[in-house]
Amino acid sequence: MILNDKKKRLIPVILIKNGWVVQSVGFQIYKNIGHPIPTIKRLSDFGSDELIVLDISKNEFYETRRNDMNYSFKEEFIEILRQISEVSFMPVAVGGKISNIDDAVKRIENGAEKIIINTMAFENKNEIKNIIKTLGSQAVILSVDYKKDENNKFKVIKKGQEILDLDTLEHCKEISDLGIGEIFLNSVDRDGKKNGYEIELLKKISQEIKIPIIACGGAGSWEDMYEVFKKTKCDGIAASNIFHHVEHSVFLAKEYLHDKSNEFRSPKFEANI
Amino acid sequence: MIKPLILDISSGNILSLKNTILKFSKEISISSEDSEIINATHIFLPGVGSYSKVMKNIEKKINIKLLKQQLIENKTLFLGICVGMQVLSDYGLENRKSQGLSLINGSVKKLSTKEILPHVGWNSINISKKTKLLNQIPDKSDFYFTHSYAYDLEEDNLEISNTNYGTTFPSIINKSNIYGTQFHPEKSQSSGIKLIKNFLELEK
Repeated sequence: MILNDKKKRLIPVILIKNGWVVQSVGFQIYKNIGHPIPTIKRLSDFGSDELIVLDISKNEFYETRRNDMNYSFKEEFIEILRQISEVSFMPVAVGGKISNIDDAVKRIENGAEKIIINTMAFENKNEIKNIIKTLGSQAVILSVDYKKDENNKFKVIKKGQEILDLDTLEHCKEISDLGIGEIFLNSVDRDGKKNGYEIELLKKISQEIKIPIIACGGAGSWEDMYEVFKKTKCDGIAASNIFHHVEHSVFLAKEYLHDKSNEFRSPKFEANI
Repeated sequence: MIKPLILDISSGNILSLKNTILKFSKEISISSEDSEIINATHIFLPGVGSYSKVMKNIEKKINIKLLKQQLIENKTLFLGICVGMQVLSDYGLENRKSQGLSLINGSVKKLSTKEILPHVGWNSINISKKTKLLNQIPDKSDFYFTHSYAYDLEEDNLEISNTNYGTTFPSIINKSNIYGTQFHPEKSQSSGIKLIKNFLELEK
């Protein structure tokens, strides 16, 4: 009998805007949640399988504007990243503002396990190849934002706003051929809407592309996450807002999912031993 | 007092490993200097990327003869992580055939599995041999993996644990004072922290 004990991954996504953790709706409305470090420590302690941290600041100014915390305020994203690696002992993937190999290497050297590229896939495919050559496939994730157009086709979105005349599956195929390790798929329509994942597209892409696919966008309940597991071949189930608004969220999510299937890690308090 | 050393071979993210070791040791060196290799009690070799690239970096930065002498004659404790474990073998087949350190006989080949590669995520270990390295770590504990290639041991009894991913491969190996983990203990939360603590408590 051929055995496989690998678990599906439950991945909280943390959006950092100018030093704050924020909640996003439709990539347009942002609500402040708090300081990144206690948020991330909590997610690690409760046993997240992995973490995605996206820097979505619109300028280079990072500031938490509060000093009444146990964690010191950091201006630079790289500094925040270094703090993260002191409180979390799990793989961290980092995206946002990575436009060349130096940006990528700087993030890996400061605590990221993997880097996430997005805009580079439209502008500089050669640089993606260089990054893969230096860091290895396993360290490079392609992030794709998509939206359903009026003809019910899934089109790729550039920089969170611009709808390209580019089919999502085709784009994923083309870039995965460069040798990237994983694809992180994010539905703009469902971002912050809590109406469930884009199952139809996720099913198609995870069937056709033979690298790990991470689904994101639309989680309103643990059931929504289970649906991705049941109906698609996605390997990672990511979400953002739901993990901020439910107390002990990661633990409860894992409890629910592990109860349904042992393809999820059992919930366990992972705080320092 | 222990003197842990992380071999500096430009191996990407070593912050988590450093932070984990610092929980159990007041001092730590990150270096590729001969004197540090001689002084160390516990040597860590983290490795990411491809077998050939990691070997190239090792050849460029480290006095391999001295390192092997320390491991074989002086019995300095050694833990290779991920590709850092793979290069303990005789050769690897990633990209092209490249020579390894030949410290634990075997070779490194692509996983022959129907599952998608790379094998990324948490998977459990099936313990085949009792060892102090796994003190208080129960059978079937989960660790974080990210790789497409795996060790093919020449001597099966050097396997401490194996892992199933549509095929079965060694996830922890050990020969005398030399240990290797295919997974990343420094990324594996409480089980991984325990493993690193256990390794630092090993005495030669």
